[in-house]
Amino acid sequence: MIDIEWPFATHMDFRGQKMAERLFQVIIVFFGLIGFIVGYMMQQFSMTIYSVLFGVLVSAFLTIPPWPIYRNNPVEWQKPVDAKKDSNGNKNNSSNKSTPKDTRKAKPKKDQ
Amino acid sequence: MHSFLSRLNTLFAFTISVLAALTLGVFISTYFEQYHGTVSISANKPIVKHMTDFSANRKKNDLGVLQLDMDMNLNPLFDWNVKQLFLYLTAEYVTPSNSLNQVVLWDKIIQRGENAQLNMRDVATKYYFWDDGDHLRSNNVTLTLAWNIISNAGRLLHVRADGSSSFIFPDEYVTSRGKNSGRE
Repeated sequence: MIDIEWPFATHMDFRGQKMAERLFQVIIVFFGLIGFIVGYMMQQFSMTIYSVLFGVLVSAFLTIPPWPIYRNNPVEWQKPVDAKKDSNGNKNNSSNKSTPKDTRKAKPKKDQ
Repeated sequence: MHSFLSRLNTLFAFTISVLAALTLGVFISTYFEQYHGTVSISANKPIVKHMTDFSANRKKNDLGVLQLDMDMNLNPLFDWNVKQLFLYLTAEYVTPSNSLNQVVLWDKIIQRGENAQLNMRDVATKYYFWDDGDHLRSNNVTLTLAWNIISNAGRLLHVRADGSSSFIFPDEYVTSRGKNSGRE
């Protein structure tokens, strides 16, 4: 899996991801249906394809960049527990803010 | 859906699935279409020559020469699933040695968007009308037009047009010695 470190933040919350996925599915299917009907009326299949591609453009604009509406439900991390004073073990970097890199390393609540 | 690339990937894959579903829809919407059409063809000035066929065995075979007149309007055949039409004109006849001979004399590709109404006069045949032997004189030949529908999504259809015509070749050969006989 290619994992590129972009210079800007690209994450969305889970609620935001769900919203974005539902949004682009609806948009593309909608433009697909409109395109099918228009194509049938004009007897030109190219109209259908153009309509779907336009729908892809619109939904790409709306769902690919991480707009702020997709960040309204950030994951609520627990407060960090004070580690022992001179511990050499794992000292978790988790803080209250979830930064993009840390969401991978922080302990998710769902495990076990 | 976490990273940028994974969102892009999901969007792309979903788009391809939607396009596939739409293409299936196009196929289903034209599944029962028959694509019939009527044409009018006639042959002008048919003559028979007896010459050596250099592309086959070196024997002398009959060569039919004729001009074609064709009228047809195929614009109604182009629905949204037709990409192009391949037309071909066949001459069919019977000889003592073969129970059915079919020779393609002319073909044409009409793509969607081009003019599909053809009114042609005195067109020479595109391909030679060689007979397998020497049985063209006084032979009753039927000209039929057929087409292949090449679809955007679907089967390759073969349709015979309504409207065929027949003609009879003359009884004697035409010899083309006029030019060379006068040399002195």
